[in-house]
Amino acid sequence: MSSDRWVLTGRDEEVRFALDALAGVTPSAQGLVLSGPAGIGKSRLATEVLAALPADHVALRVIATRAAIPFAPFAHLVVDDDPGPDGARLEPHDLLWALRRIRAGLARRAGGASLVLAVDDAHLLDEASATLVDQVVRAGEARLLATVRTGEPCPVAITSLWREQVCQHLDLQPLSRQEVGALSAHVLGMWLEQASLDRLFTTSGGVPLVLRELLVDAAASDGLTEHRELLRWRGVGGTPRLSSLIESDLARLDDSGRSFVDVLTVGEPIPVDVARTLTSLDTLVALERAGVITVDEIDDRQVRFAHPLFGEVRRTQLGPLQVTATEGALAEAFEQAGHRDADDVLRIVCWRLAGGERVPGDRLLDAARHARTRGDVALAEQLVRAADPTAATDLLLAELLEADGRAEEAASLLDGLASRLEGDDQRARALTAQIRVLALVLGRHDAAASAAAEADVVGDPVWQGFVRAQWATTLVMLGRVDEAATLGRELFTQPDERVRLRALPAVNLPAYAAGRLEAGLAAARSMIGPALTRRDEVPVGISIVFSALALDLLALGRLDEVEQLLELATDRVAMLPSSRAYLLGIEGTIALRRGQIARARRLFSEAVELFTGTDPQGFQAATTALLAEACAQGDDGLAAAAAAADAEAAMAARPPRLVDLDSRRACSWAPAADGDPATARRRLLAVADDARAAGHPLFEMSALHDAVRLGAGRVAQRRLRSVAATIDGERAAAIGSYAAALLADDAGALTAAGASFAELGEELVAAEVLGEAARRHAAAGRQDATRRSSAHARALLARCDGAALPAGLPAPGPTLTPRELQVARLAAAGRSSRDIAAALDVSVRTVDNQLSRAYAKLGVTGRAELATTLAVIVGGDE
Amino acid sequence: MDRTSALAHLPETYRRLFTMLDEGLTPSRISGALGVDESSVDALVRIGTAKLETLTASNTIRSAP
Repeated sequence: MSSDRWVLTGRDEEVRFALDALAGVTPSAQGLVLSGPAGIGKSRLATEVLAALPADHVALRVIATRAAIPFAPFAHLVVDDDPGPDGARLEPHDLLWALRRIRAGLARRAGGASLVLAVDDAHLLDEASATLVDQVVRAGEARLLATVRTGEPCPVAITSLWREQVCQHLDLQPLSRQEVGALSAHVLGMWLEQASLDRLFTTSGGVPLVLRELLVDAAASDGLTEHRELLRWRGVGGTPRLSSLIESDLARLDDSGRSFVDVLTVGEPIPVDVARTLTSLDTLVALERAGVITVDEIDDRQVRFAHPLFGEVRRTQLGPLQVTATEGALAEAFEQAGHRDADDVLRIVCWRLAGGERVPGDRLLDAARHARTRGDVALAEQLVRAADPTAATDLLLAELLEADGRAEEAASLLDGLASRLEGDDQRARALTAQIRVLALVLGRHDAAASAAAEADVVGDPVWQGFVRAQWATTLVMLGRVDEAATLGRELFTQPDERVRLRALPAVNLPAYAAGRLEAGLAAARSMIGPALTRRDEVPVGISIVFSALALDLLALGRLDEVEQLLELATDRVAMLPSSRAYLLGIEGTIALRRGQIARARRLFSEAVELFTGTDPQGFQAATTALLAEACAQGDDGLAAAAAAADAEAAMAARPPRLVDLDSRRACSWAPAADGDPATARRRLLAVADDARAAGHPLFEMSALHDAVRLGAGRVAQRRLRSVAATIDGERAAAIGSYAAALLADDAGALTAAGASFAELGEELVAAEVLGEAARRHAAAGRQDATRRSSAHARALLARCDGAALPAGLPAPGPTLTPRELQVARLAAAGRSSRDIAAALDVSVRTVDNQLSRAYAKLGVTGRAELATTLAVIVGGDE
Repeated sequence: MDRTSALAHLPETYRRLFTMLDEGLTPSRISGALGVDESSVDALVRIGTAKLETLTASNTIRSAP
C-alpha cells in the first residue's frame, strides 16, 4: 500500500474555493483559514492548494509548534546580514525590531510576486508570531492559508482574522460514503463490496486519516479478502499501530472511565438511564468532556462512542471471560431498568444465553422474530433452536430455513407440522411457506397445488386471502401468467387491503409482461399506503410494492425515479442478505442502462455473491445473467461466457420462471463479446419468438431491441417498431423511433432517437444510435452533421464507465485539445478574441486559429452554434 | 441526476446544511446544529452548492460502488 496512492479525494471544490481566496478571485478575502479535527486532511488540502497556485504567486510555508521562543516559525527569515541588537534575550522593543525584519524578509522572499503565507497548525503559534501573521495579512503584504485544529485554544490574533472577515473560514468536513469508496478503491486497486464499504465508512467516520489507518491495519492483519473481483473487509484487526491511535485518548481516563469504556464496547449503544446504573454520572460527564462518548438526544438518549473506532479497536483487546462477565452485568442492568424495545430484548436474550442462562421459550421466539426482521437469519435460527420444540418454534424454524435457502429441510419440517398447527395464522403461514418452497425451489408443482387447495381450511378470510395470494404470486413467477392474472384480479377486489397488498404481484406482473406498464404502476401505487401503514401485519408488503414500482419504472425508462425509490427502500426493506442482493441487482440494472458498465458489473457481482446459499426466491440466476450482459458490454468475452454459463446452469437446476425470458436475453450478449454477434442475434431472436408465443410483448421488445443493436436486419427492425408501439412509456417510444429511423435509413431521425435515449439517461444506447446517425451522415457526404453526431456520441461514450462499442459501429470523431476546448468555452461565453488572448496571454491570431480548428472539428460555423454544441458535449472532452 | 438524488449523495454535513437552508433556518442556527463556527457557514454553502452542481451534472447516481 504505497503512499503515492493516497490521492486527494472529494476535495475538488474545496481546492477551488481556497484558490479563489488566495488568488484574489474573492476580492474581500485576504486568505483562508482551514479548521477541522485531527486527521480530516487540512494540511493535505493546503499542500494541494499551494501546488496549484498561479505562476505569479510565491508560497512560504511554516509549521507552528509549541515553542516558547517568539517568532520561532519565522526565525529563518532574519538573514545573517541583518545584525540584531546585543544580548541573548529579546526585549519588547527588540520584538518590534524582529517583527520588522521578518516582514522585510517576507517581502524579499516574495520578490515582487504575490505572497501566500501558509501556516500549519496556526493554533500553536506564539503570540508574537500570531501578531506578525495578523499584521502581514491585514496590511496586504501576503495572503494567508492557515490550518487550525478544532477545539484547541487559538491566539486571538488568528481567530480575529476570520471573525472580522479579513479571511475566509472553512470548516473541513468528513468525506461522503462515495468518496470513501472511491479513495479505498484507488488505494487498494479494487473496489470494496457494499457491506464492507458501509462498515468502513461508519468506522472511519469519513475521516481520511482514520480510513488510512484502518486500511493499513487491514493490510497488516490479512483483513481483506477477494470475492468475485471485489474486496471484503473483515473489520478492525487491532494491529498495534491502530491501537496506538486511540490509546492516547483512553490513557487520559481514570479507572472508572476505562471500565465504562469496556462496558460500552460490549453493549453499545446504552440508554443513559441504564448507563447510570453501571457507572457514576461524574464518570459519564468526564468521558463526554474527554470526547470519548456522546449522548444522542434524538435517539432515546443513547450513549455511544464519539467515534466508532474506540469500540472497534477496544473489542479486539477484550478477553472472552471479560466479555461474558460484562454481558451478564449488562443484561442485569437492562432488566432492572424496566421494559425496553425489541432491540434491547434481543440483546438481553443473547447476553443471557452467552452466559449459559436459561431463557423462557416465548422470549426466545420474540427475540428470534426480531433477529429475522433485522436480517440476521443465523442468529434467529440459533435462538429458535434454543427453545423447546413446539408447533410455533418449528413453524418459525421452517420459515428461517426457507429464508436461508435450505428448501429441503424446510419442506421436511413443514410436512410433519400440519397436525400440530393451532389457529388460522399458523395454518396460513405454513401453507404459504409450503407453496413457495415446493413450487419455486423444489419444482413439486402438484404438492404445491395441493397446499394451495387447502386454503379453504383456513377460516379467517384475511389469512385465507394470504394463502391464495401466495398461490397467485407463485403462478405468475412460474410463468403461468393467465391463471395468475385471473386469480389476482379476483383478489384485488377483496375488501381487505392486506389481501390486495399480498396479491399485488399477480396483478402487476401480468400487466408488466404485457407492456401495460401504466396500469401496473397505478396498481402498485395504490398499495404504497397500505404497505406503510400495515407494515407490522404484512412485513413483506414494502418489498412487494418496491419490486413492482421498480420493475415498472425501469421498463418505462424513468431511471431517476427508480434511483429515488432505491434510496427510500434501502432503509425500509428488511435487510436479509437476499433482500440486499435484490436491491443491488436493481441498482446494477440502473447502472447498466446508464452505460456505467464497470459499476454495473461490480454491483451484479456482489449481488450474485450475496445470493449464494440464500436465494429463496431464485433471483441469483437472473442476476448472474445480467452480470453476463454487463461483462459483454464491457467487452470481456471470457467473463461474459463464464457468467452466462453459470446463469444457464442455475436456470436449469430449478423450475422455469417468467423472468427466464429476460435472463436468456441477457445471456445472449456473451457471444457478441467473443466476436460472434451473429450467434448473439440468433439467440436474441429465438428469445423474442418465445416471448411472442407466450404473449409477453415487453420481453419480446427487449430481445428484439438488443438484436437490432447487434445488427439484426429489416425484418427484426420492422417487428421491433411494431411491438414497441404496443408498450407504454417513453422508453418504448424511443426504441420504436429508433427502429423506424433505421427502416427509413433516416440519419436525422436516428439523431433524434439518440437524443431521446440520452434524455432518458441511457447513454450507451444513445451513443450507439448517434454513431449510426454519424455513419449515415458520412455516407451522404454531410460533413458538418457527421461531426456533430460523432462528437455527441463520443461525449456520451466518454461518460460511460467501462463500456465498449459493439463491433461494427463507427469510431468516434476527433477530440478538441485542452487549449481548443478552453478557447471554445470562452468564445461560447461571449468573450471576444482579444479578451481571450489577454486572459490566456497569447496572441489574437493564436486564439483565432484555435477557434477555427474547434469550429471545424465540431462542425459549427459561429459562436452561437458553438455554445449549443459545447453544451451538448460538455464533459466529454474534459 | 436530479437535485433530490444529488442531495442524498453529498457528505452528511452538506446534506443537513441544505435541508436546513430549505427550511429557512438562520446561519446561527445552522452553525449550532452542525457544530461549526458561524463564520464558516458561508463557505460551506458555496462549496456545498458546487458539490451539488457537480453531482447533478453527472450521469450516474453514484460514482462509488
